[in-house]
Amino acid sequence: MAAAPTTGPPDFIGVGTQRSGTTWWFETLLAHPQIRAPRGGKELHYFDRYGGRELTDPGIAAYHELFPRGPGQIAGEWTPRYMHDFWTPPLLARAAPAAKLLVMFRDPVERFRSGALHQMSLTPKARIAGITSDAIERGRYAAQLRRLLAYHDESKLLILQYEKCVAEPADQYRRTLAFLGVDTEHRHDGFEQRRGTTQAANKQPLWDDMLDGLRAAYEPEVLELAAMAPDIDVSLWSNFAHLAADALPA
Amino acid sequence: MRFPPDHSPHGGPPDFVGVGATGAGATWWHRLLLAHPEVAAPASRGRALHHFDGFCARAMTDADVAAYHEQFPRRDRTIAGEWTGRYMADAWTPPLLRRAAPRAKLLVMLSDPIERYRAVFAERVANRGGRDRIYMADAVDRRCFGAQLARLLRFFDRDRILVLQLERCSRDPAGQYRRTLEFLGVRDTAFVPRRLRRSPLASLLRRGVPAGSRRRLAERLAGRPVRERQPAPLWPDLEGALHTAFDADVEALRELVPDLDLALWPNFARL
Repeated sequence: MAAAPTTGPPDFIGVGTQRSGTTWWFETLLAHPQIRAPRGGKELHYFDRYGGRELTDPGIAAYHELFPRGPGQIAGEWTPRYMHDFWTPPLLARAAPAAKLLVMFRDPVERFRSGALHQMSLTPKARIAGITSDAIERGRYAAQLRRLLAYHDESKLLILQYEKCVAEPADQYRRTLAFLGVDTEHRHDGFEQRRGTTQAANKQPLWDDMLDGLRAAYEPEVLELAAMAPDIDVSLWSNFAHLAADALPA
Repeated sequence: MRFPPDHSPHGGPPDFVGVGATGAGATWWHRLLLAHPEVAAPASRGRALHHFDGFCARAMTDADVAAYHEQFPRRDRTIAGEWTGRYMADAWTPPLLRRAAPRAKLLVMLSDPIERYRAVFAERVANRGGRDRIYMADAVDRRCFGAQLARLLRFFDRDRILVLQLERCSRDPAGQYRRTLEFLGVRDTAFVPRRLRRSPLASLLRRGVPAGSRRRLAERLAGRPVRERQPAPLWPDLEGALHTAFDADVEALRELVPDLDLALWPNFARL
């Protein structure tokens, strides 16, 4: 008879970023026999509420209850806003101190376009300036990564790049599995089956002023990110490829 | 520097634009500026025009620029401007301002970002209306003044931007008012608005009366209980996260604004 699943702190948590292929990648991970989904689906949004009140020990215990796994299995979730919500990194350090963290980054201008459209579809009555401003801020990756690393050791963090995962999914999948400490020989054949929602059909070209404003906001962030995460290949981000030479590690 | 005499009673580009920050005393300061006989209000009488907010969804046309200019009629020897606190925080606005008001001087009023966070938090707790969650990520995003000023500087020279501190303006309103007038280039820089000419007794009453006595006095005047809004107490995780979020940005801000007096920001005085 198979042993009953046990619960406990998650083994891994995806913390970012929204509209960057995280649903696709998480579903791909779940195809691995050693990786279990949490109760409640990919995005638990467990820590969202603790921007307004303190996280207590019973609250941490309740979080652990969401991660059943059998012998030899690991469990985790992926909530893309954790990294953007400044109050969450210290809570993750308390609630899941041994968890490995995953981040998927995408060209911030493309992420912005997808994120703004996605939010408009969810909240059509919200003020568009507020949605746009929020969608821009979510692409300030370096500031978010700096906050995350203030509470979590770099060795616990795997930074993935969406464009690289699209270009070489099998290699990046194996890299992710090795980081998570599960069998890296598992073969996955469904990379082309994208999950999640797409805004590709709704995207309109951005105008020059908007691009100027976005580049002014993001270029310093991209350069700082490349310095912190040398694996990021800036040349894969079409809106920032001109920075690739400046972004090379010293 | 004096402004060239090319202003029309029918409008023209603003001479100054206040671009930040929300909830940092900009309303108070702009009203004081409008008390000056050489400073004209926008035609709409609105302090904050929010003219550029909508251009996050479409391109700004030349007609939109002309419509903006129509907001600033002024008589001879006066200057005109507006103050919209979110312009600096909205990344799409600086390039639009450069197009619509290339010669404008920019004003920024800043205050301790964590103190402002406490005030916004208290407000959202009071207004939560049974909702379980309070999202405050935007309250941090909108107060990363160092990053915002850095991107503004990609479109405007540093000497066209005056950065004021609310705490300094509160302590020395006359001195900071004069500094603002000098930056704007008006002729009469010795002008002091009536609101700043308080009697010593009024100043004592304003600053020196303990909070409890002030509330009792307010209740007697109002004839009903008056609730004083207290800053919400924050818990250690949140306090720590706020400092992690803001410290590096405030240090970057100080690099860009060497006369920023961090001793006046209680949460950053140690920096």
